[in-house]
This record gives sequence, C-alpha cells and structure tokens, in this order.
Amino acid sequence: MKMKMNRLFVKNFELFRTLVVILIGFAISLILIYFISDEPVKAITTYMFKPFDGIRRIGSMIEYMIPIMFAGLGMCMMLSVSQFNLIGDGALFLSAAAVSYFATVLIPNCPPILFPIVMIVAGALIGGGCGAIPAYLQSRFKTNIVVVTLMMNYVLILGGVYMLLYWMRDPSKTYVGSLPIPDAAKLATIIPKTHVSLGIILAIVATVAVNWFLNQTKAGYQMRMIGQNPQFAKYSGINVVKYVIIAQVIGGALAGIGGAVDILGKYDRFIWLTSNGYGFDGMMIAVIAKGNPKHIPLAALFLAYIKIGADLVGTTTDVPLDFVLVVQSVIVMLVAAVSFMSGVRQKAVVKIASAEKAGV
Amino acid sequence: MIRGSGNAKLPDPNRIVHRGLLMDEPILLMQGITKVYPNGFMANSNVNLSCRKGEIHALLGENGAGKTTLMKMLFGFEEPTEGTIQIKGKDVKFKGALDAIRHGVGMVHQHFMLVDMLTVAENVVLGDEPVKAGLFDKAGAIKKTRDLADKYHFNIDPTAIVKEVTVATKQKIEILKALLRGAEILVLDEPTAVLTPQETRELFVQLNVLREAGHTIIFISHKLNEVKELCDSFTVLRKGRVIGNGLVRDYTPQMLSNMMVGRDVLLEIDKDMAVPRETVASVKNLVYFDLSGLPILDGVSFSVQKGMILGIAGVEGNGQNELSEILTGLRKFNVGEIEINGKNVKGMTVRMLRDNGVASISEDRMSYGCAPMATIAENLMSDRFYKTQYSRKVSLKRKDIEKMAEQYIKEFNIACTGPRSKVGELSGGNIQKVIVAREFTSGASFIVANQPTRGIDVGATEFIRRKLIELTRTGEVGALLISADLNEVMEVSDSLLVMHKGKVCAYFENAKDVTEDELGEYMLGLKSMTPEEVGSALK
Amino acid sequence: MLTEAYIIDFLYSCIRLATPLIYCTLGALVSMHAGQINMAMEGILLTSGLTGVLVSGFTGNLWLGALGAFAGGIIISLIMGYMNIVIDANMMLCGISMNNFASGGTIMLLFAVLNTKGSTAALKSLTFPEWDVPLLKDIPFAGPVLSGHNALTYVAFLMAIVTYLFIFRTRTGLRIRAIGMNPNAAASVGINVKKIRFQAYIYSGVFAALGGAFMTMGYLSYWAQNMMGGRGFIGISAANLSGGNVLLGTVTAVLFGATSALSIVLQTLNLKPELMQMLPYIATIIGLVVISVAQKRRDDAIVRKAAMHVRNEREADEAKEAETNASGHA
Repeated sequence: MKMKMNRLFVKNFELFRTLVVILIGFAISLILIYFISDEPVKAITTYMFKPFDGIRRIGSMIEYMIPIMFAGLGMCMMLSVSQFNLIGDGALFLSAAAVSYFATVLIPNCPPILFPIVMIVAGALIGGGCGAIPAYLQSRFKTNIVVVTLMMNYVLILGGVYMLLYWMRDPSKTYVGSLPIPDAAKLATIIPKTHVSLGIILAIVATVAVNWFLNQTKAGYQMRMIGQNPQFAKYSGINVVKYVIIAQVIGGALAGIGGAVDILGKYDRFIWLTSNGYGFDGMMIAVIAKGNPKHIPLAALFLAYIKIGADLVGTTTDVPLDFVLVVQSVIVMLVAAVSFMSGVRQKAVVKIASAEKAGV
Repeated sequence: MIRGSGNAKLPDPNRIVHRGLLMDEPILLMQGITKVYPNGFMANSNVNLSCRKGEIHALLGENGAGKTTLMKMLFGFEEPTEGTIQIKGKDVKFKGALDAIRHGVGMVHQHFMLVDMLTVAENVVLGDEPVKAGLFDKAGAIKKTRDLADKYHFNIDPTAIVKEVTVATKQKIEILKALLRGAEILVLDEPTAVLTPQETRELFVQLNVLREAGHTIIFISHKLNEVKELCDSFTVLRKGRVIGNGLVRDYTPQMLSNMMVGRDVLLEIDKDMAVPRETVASVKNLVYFDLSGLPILDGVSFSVQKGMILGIAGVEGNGQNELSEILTGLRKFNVGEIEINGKNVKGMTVRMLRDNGVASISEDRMSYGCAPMATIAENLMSDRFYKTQYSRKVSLKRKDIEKMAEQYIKEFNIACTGPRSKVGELSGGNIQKVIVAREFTSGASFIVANQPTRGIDVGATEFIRRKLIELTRTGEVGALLISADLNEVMEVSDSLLVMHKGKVCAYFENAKDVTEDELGEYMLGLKSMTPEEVGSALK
Repeated sequence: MLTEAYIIDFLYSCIRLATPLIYCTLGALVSMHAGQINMAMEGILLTSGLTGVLVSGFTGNLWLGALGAFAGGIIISLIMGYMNIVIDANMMLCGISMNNFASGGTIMLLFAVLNTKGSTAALKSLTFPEWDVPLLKDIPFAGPVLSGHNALTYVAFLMAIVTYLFIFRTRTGLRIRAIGMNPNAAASVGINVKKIRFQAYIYSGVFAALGGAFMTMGYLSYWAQNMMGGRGFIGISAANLSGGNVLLGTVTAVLFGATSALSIVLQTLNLKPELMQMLPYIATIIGLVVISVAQKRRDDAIVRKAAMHVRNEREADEAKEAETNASGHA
C-alpha cells in the first residue's frame, strides 16, 4: 500500500508539488491575517468563505478571472517559446485605454454588435504591437527582454493615463474618468445582479483557442519545439527567429484583448490611473499552470478566489488587502523553484528502486 | 638545483630513466581502479597505473578510452567504484579537488579554467590571494607569480590580461596555478593539442625543468612522436582497460599505435557489394576557420555516391563535427564548394537543405537530435510536419501523424508505450532509433551519420548499422559515416578516408584494403598520403 | 528663460534626483560582476525606505533609522538569495516576485505598526540633514550646484569610490568577479560559488537600502505606497550600460537623474507630465540597444584581431620550420 502511494507520488510529482505550494501560500495568507487583524476570526472567515456568499460575490470572482485569464494565456504564449516577455501588464492597460478612446471619441457611432468586435480586434492589434517591440529588440540586439518589457510597461501605462487625461476626459465629473462608453460597445452582462459579462465566455473561448493553437496547429507545434529545445528546432529546419517573434506577438495580442474585454464588460468609463497588477497575476497563473492553457481556468479561479477574499477582508475588516501580493509572490517562487521538495522526491525514488531490487 | 635547462636541447632519455630508477617506491600507485557510472557504463576496468618520482609518464589512448575518467578520480572529481590510490605510499581517498590539491596533485585541464578578464597574476593566486591592509595585495600577487615563474624559467608577464595572451601562455598559467599550491604530481591533459610546434618545444623545455626539479608529470596524449621525444614510461588504455605499459625507449611509435588503436572483437557485417551510382554530394577544398582564426577544416575534398557509404575515420576533434554541421546547414563555411544533388548549397537554410535531400544523425542526440520532453510522434515529425500528408492549411493531421509514428515504432523496433511516450523516458538506444527512424524515412538521398551508435546497446547498434546499409543498397541514397568506433567505420563503410588536423590524410576506395594498424597510424598522424593519392576521394 | 539661476537649479536637481539611482546602480554593479541580476532592487528600495522611517520614527535616532533601512534591504536580499541560490528558482522570476512581495509586505508592515494605510505621514520620522559644504559653497556657479545636498547624496558618491575599491581592490571583489566570469574556474580553486553569490545579493541589497533611506529620509520625509517608480530598474539599466565600470555607471546614473530633472522642467514648460515622465524609461531602452550594438562591434573586432594574430603566428612558425629544415638539410 505504501509502495503504491510512493509510485503515485513520483509519477505525479509536479502536481503534488504545485498543490503543496498552493497550500503553503494559503496558509501564509491565513497567518498574515491572523497576526495583523484585531478581529482575526472574523477576518479569516471573511477571507475563506465570503467570496462564495451570494451571487454578487461569486460574480466578482468570475469577473476577476476574465482579464487575468487573458493575461495568463498571453504569458503561456511567451513561455511556449521560453521568453520572459512581461509586456502583458502594459499591453493590457494601453489597450484598455485605447479602446475606451476609440469608443468614446473616435467612432462613438459604430453600430452595435460590430462595435465590440471592432474594439476587441483593435485591442488585439495594439497588444500585438506591444509584444512585438521587445521581441524584435531581443532578436536583433539581444537586449534583456525582462528589463526592456518592465521599462516599456511604465511607458505604456503613462501613455494610457495620458490618453485618459487629455484625449477622453469627461470635464463634467470631479473624479478623473473618461467620457461614458457607448452602450453599443459594451459586452452584455450574462449573469444578472453581477457584472459578469460575455467576457467570461470569450475568455473560455480564448483558452480553448490557445490550447488548440499550441497543440493542433503547425505554428503552435513549431513554437513548442522551439521552447523545448531551440537547437533541435533549428536542426529540424524550423525558422526559430520567425516563430519566436510571432509567439510573442500573439501573447501581446491576448493581453490586449483582455484589456479591451475588461473595459467593455465591467466599466462605464475608463478610470484607471495605475496598473491593476493583471500582468503579475497572469504570470503567476501561467507559472502555476506550467504554461499549459488547459490549466489556466482553474489557476485563474484560485487566484480570483484569494483576490476577492482579500478584497472583502480589506473592505470589511481592518486588514489591508495587499497581503495577497505577498502570498502570490511566495507561490510563484516556490512553484518555480526546481529544488523545492526535490529531496522528498529523491527519497521516494530510492525507496521504489530498493523495493524493486528486493522483488516487491 | 636546476641544471642544463637554459638551452633548447632535450636531456638524454637514458639519463632520466636511470634517475627514475633510483627511487624504488612509485610516488603514485593506482591499483585495480574500476569506475562504473550509474547508467551502467564502465569507464575504467581494473586499471593499474604506477609512476616514479621525477619521471614523465605518458597516458595513451583514444577518445573514450578512459584516460580522462582515470584522471578525474586522481584529481578528486570522481570516486572509484573499486580500487585504491596511493600517493607516496599512503592510501588516499579524495573527496574533491581541494583534497587532491592538498596532497600535491595538480591538474592542467585541456579546457582551461581561467578567468579571461583578470590578469595572469590574479588567476594564479585566485583562492589563495595575498592581502595587505584588508585589500588585495596586487603587487604581492605579481611578485609571487613572477618569483614562481622565474624559479621554473617560465617566461610570462604577470600583469598581462589572460584574454590577450597566447594559448601557450594560458597553459603556463595553469601549470603555475598547480605549482603555487604545491603540486608534486602534475597531470597535463592533451597539452599540445592547442599549441604550435614552436610552443610545443617551449613547453617540453619547461616540463624538463620541472622534471629536473623533482616533479612527476603525467602526460595524457595521443601524439606518439611527442611521447617518444618527451616521456620516460607509458601506460596504454583502450576501452577502459590497460593494454600495455613500459618504458618508451623500448617501443616504436608503430607498436604504441597498435596498442592504442585496435579492435578487441572482429566484427563482420554481411553486406552486398556496393554499386556506386551518380554523385550525390561533393565537397571541394572546404576551409573553415573557428572564432580565433584556427583552420578547423583545411582544404577538405571528397565526394559521396548514391549506393555506397563513405566512412570518415579519425580521432575526434580533427574537424569531423564541424564538417557534419556544415553539411547539414548548422554552420557556415568560409571557403570552398559544396554541391548536393547537383545544387550549390552555399547559404542554404536547414529547411532548404532538407528539402534538397539531406538528412543527418547528429553526434549529440540530446542537444540536437530530439526534444526530450516531447512525444515520440512530435519528435518523428519535426522534419515533415508541414508536408501535405501530415497537415492541412493550419492544423496538423493528428491521426495520420500518429499512424506514421506507430508504423515507425514497429518498423524500427522502438521499445516504448506508444507514440505518446515522451522521448526522454526512453533508453539511449531507443532514443537514437527514434532519431534514425525520422532521418532514414525522410526521403533524403544524402545522409550524414555522425557517431550513430555511440553509447547505445548492442541490439540497437546492429539494427541501425543494418538499416543504413540497406538504405544505400537501394541505390537511391549515399551516406557519410563519421565514427570513432573502428569496427563500425571499417566494416560498415564501403570506402574510407581519414581526417587528421582538418585535412584528409588518407583515402581507401575499398575499406577492406587497409588494416586496423595502418588505419591507426594514419589516424594518429604517423603516416600521411600524398595529395595525389588523397585526391581520388573526390570524383 | 535660461538664466544662470535656472541652470544652477537644474544641475542641482540632477544630482539630487540621481542619488537613489546611484545607489541602485552601485548595487546592480556588484550583482553584475557576480554574474547575476538583482531584479528585486525596486522592492529593496521600497522595503528599506519603510523600515528606515519606522525605526527612526520610533527610536528618534537617525543612525538607528539607517540600520533599520539596512535591515529591510537585507531581509529582501536574504529571501531572494534563498529562493534563487538555495532552491534554484529562476532569477528573473524571483526578482519580480520579490518586488511584488515588497509591495504587499510593506503595506502590511505599515498597517501592523502604525495602523494606517497609504503613507507614514502621520509619523514623525527623521531625515538626514543637508550639508552646506564650507569652501565648496562659495565657489561661483559650481558651489550652489554641488553644495547643500543631503548627506546621503554625498555618501552616494563616496559609496561609488567604496564600490570601486570593493570590486576591484579587495579579495572578495576579485572572487566575485571571477565567479561572474567563469564560475568553473573559481570552483576549481576551491571557492564556494554559492556562498559568494549569496554575499553578492546581500551587498547589492545594502547599497539599495541606502537609496531607499534617501528617498524616505532625505528626498521626502515620509514613506508612501509604491513610491519608487521604477528607480530600481533604472539603476540596473545604468549598470548594464556601464559595462561594469563604476565611474561610467555613476555618470550614467547621474545622466538618468538628468532625464528625470529634465522631465520635471519640461512639465513646468507646459509639456504634458505623463509624456515627460516616460523619458527615463525610454532612455533606458535606447541605452540597452546602443550598448548591445557597441558590444557586438567590439566582439567582432576582437575576433578579427585574434584571427589575424593567429594567422600571423602560424605563418611565422611555418617560416621558421622551413628555415630550420632548410638549415638542417644543408
């Protein structure tokens, strides 16, 4: 019996490891809340259970999943060719701002049905362009893609804020917000009493599409081979340079779509003045999902759960919601840590080997 | 006291041997050394090595003979599975490089362990740096280095930056590093492989100085002329075993060569006569410089015909890998003409070459030949996925691909759980069979096989060799077989050429026309054919 | 418009704004020579800024505050080092995660200690004094530009010298450089590569901590959420651009400070602030491209030179061989 468990453990080691890390992360969040809050019990129960309390809260979780799923899928594309292109955050932001600008100022009279479609395509193009620049720089000049994309994110976000302040600001409002987005552009709400829009359907469609693209198409196959062994890809005749860039353009486009979908599905106006952190969220769920699009929805659900939990804790108790960032960081690092729990695995492997030797 | 080392004349070999015989006990005694790696590969089998103090001992053998492994154990990088090591009569068990250094063993690696952007002095004292007032004592390091260099008559500038010094100087730095740490036994791994003749002479002078000073030197090499010139005694390894040892003066280079290069078991392959047809690949005056300007390929010319196998024999590192990479598009060449299937291939991408009928088995299967985390099917299709039978406009025809994979798994006898198994989970032989299955069924007319059966089991080896011969006997395929395995290159090839130092030094239209002894002499540079004789390799 | 007072003001701001950048550049240089990139600089700035303010506020002692800042920086470096070196998590991932860790962690710490969110404005924390340097301040033009800066600004330039000495003149610095260039060579002489790498992370954390202390206890007198605005990354870029040269790195950091100062000036000129704020980041990207082009040209030249050198040597050798053979036969 014990030997069977050992074998199961070794065979599904990565899954076990990820689950352990998530549990550790969750435990850390509980510990943080417990020690910081003046009303620890209330805070903990809010964190763990309130997200499921009522259709509106469950809706919040699903809403949160929308942009991060797109960001996560975008990151999966980057990881498919083993590039740490982190443009997702900036691409998403700029795309959301640009789409708001198009909708409110440039073509406010676009006919319905067509309107959101055009907006999403625009978001994809903008995101794709954002993803292409660092990809090209890396390919041509061998610049460090992490530093370049992090710098670009600042520029893109400033650009989006600029658009908000000077191109589409609503002067009649005291707070900083854009003109109202035409209803024809918005994505319909599909769950009443929530803000859950068509976006979630689009996100699921995107997941299926990315999964299909990577696993069933010629281009996706070439990208995966490049990501797994670029020398093998080159030796087999695959044009490595071309597909590394294309993968990153698609990754950026996905983030761009995420920005467009988020704005059109959840907001009446564009009001973002700083990053929402969706880029890091996307990176986190892509790392947990090990780059596999199939695992993105579940990972996104988990993240949405703890994010909404933290948000509820932040608004109803004294604890600031930002503790969730600490949890996210620890989870990302531990999942990515190659040697984490490798000792445990080694012991199990040795046990199996000696059992086999003894003829068990 | 250092005598007679100022001039360039070599000391009398007899005198050295005599001096060596004054000490009865060997300074180094490795007995019964066996090393078996976790994957079952036996690198050394019951090896005995004994060196006297103050002698230069040659450790001879081809690549893969086990010389480097033996020295790794002496230097503490590995532990022997069985056997003992004694230094100055005391049993030692090294747990790492530091341990070995402390016992007076110094290693001068073939690939230098130097920090390019630091000075000579800094490299020499690294890890044991002199300190003055809390800061690194640069002047002290320079003085230390200079004193040491002067003591052994090394002519080097301690303030030079390592990146800018010659290869010969880099080697001297490595020797000084060892001497600084009190090395009494110096191990030099193929030290003259990277030196010019002039630099080699200089090195020999220095080694003699060291010998006169009482140091013991183990000289790993396969350059027999140098061994004759420099060394007192020798040990020959082949396939992990000691084939012979003795005093250098009692043996001719030919005798040493016969010990080093030979077949233990005669392999006979049953094959039909080759019927060469039209030329499928021709190489004319190929020259290739590496990044530091050394000619790795120095005017290579030969051609391969459909229906036959041309073998390239030679010690590894004489340009064979670069040649293979150039022919398959992974490297660009500098001078010369290459034609494959009648087309000049200069500037062709890998895809274009493959479309032009080239396939290859790379000598590093894990780095180039496969994607270990991908499935067998994905590995099998990497050269053909875009062809209409396996894909539509956008998507792949998964069912057809899987059928192809299943067919080849059967045809090539690949032991696995199915086309969806990950290649990395297979044994070495089966991984190679996946690669061979892909390359041999690619429809290519010119196949470059570089070490196709290295490190795999007997069954897979025989299978692959047979398949290669079969392919050529259809008359549609010509093959170039590069192999360090003498059996393979002599029995599988129809015609045979030998490469040495980037040149073709021998050509045999019929591989049966040469004996293994003779082949060994060509491989080791003891013999060389005239350009006219070699010229017939290019038809 | 371009009066002398204006220019003096501008140059003064350049130096002032460059201060945290210099510290980050120095920290990044130490990492760079060790062959690693400490992407967590941003998080270290943030954390040390807060811990410095908190300790100085509660103890009323400026030096203890400085120690507090160091502690904050070292804690982040320790976690980073553990994750990257001990359990082998990807260096970039670790750095980025630690930045987010610091972002959330500092807010938590603030709340835990002061029960507020947002900033430490309520706390009476101390700041480092400004020095009117005697003699220097009286020099025309240069005086007002160079004198009157915060103590930590002068310390920054001093630290540049210390960094130079550390990297290029101490034993540890030599080992750090050796590990950065060829870790195998270092290991072959018995140096503990992991230990030195860990130390390098901590040193870079200490430098960045001073930058954080400057931001919250000099430039401003309080700490606020996410206030560092990418200064850590700009420091890393300045280090990249300098190719490892401490002087060049310091100068580059000052130049980046200048772009920040420029963007402020241009904002007063009615140019949109958001666009101006982009300047340092865009400058960084351009700088990275420029340096890689220059690097490639330099590498190509080295290869060409080496190839010629080898060919000349070989020709000389062959000529000598022919000579000796000829004289031997004669």
